[in-house]
Amino acid sequence: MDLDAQVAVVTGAGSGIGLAVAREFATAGAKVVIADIDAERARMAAQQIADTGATAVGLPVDVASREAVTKLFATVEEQLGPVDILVNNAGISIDRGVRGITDEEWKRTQDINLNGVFLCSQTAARSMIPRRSGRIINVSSRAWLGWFGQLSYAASKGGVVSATRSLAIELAKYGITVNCLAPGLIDTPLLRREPQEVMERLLTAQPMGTIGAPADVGWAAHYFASPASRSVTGQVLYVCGGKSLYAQPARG
Amino acid sequence: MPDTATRSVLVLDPAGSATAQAIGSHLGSTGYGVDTAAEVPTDPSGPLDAVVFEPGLLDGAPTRNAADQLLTAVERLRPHLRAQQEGGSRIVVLTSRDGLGWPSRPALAAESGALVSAARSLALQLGRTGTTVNVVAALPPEGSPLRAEGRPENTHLYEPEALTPTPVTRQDIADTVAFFLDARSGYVTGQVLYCCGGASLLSSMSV
Ligand SMILES: NC(=O)c1ccc[n+]([C@@H]2O[C@H](COP(=O)([O-])OP(=O)(O)OC[C@H]3O[C@@H](n4cnc5c(N)ncnc54)[C@H](O)[C@@H]3O)[C@@H](O)[C@H]2O)c1
Repeated sequence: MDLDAQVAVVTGAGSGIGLAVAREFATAGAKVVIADIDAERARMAAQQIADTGATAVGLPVDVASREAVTKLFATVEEQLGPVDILVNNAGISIDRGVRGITDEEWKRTQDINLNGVFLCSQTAARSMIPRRSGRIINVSSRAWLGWFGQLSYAASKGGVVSATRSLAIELAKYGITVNCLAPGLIDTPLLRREPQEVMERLLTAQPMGTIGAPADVGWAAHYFASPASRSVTGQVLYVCGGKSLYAQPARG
Repeated sequence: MPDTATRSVLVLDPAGSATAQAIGSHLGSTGYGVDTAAEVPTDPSGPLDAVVFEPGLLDGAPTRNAADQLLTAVERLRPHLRAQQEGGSRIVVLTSRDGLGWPSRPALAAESGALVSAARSLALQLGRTGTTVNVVAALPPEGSPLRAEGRPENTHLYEPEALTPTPVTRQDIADTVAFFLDARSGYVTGQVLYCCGGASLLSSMSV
């Protein structure tokens, strides 16, 4: 198995896409850390994966807190060894457009979606550089290209794309690749919180006419984590059913 | 990352390129049933799980109208692509990182750029049929005659190189193709992955 014995930290893996990534990695032989702000969710998800015979640990983290991130990686190193693969997946979406969004909401979105990527990547990179290998995979969103009512979310995810490119350029010589996944419409709890009317509008914008599954993103993350992608770095891979090519706006 | 049991792939290799050969043998060694042909066979066998179009740009083949060749090939292969209910089909097109612009190879760059535009349009055209169309844009790999060209005349630029520690090989390119061809990559369409060790990142067009 191509991720045998690799230590993989997946943030926000208590649910949705992150959980699918963790499952995919475990199936490929990795030892996975489910890191989530919801400690109970992380514990249960890790238990589920461990029940299949894989190594999985659930740990609490708020990716927006330097202290919590430092503690997370120290605990991982103690329990499983240094991190080989980091997936920055934790994210929130507060969509109230330019007229509605408050200072607090804007700040919280950047804190988790963008600062979280900085804090976790810096901590992981410092441990990967001396070992001359590693994989960092950031979960941005197709929405970084811009979308109705998604000002703060899109801006935070655009920051993730930019961070990915600079990290990739800086870390390439150490054999560390940094890539970015930009999911489009994916069937997760985050999406199910959207009202019916929003869902219909979202489906109209889908060139393939379908909604993706968390496992579609899990598989793409596996590719970026695997030795097979050693010459691919700084890329933004849209897992979006073609929505990044043309996202048709609703009429009227 | 195998999941290829008895999937059939047609490798279209009009230039007889070393890169096409490497892709074919990699896919063969991971369980694909591989047919390689210079042009679309009159009667392609069985429903096709995948088609790879490798016009030879990475090996400096003097290609013209590669996008036309791709569009014609896809039109002719359409009835033979695996249906949506059966997981759809995968089309992968090989181009060069030169598509971002390169002083000594403007014609090759234009061919690469046109292939990307054609592939994106095909992805939109075929979206509802479950067929995905993606592009691997590579740095001319180790062993390509393009790597030995040296400095473009009248510039201070030198041939782009991988930022990663090892040069880009044909095997790396074949691995990237294999990702797009995988049955599990069905929600990825119209995308360009640069297999270039980060050399594409230094251009605005790569995002
Ligand atoms: N679902 C989609 O359609 C979609 C599309 C594009 C991008 N994304 C991105 O994918 C990622 C995962 O989204 P999802 O749909 O699985 O969402 P989700 O809400 O199902 O899961 C997100 C997880 O992150 C955790 N989390 C939230 N804040 C955290 C913090 N500060 N520290 C640690 N963990 C935290 C949550 O507890 C939750 O378990 C997000 O970054 C999201 O922006 C999702």
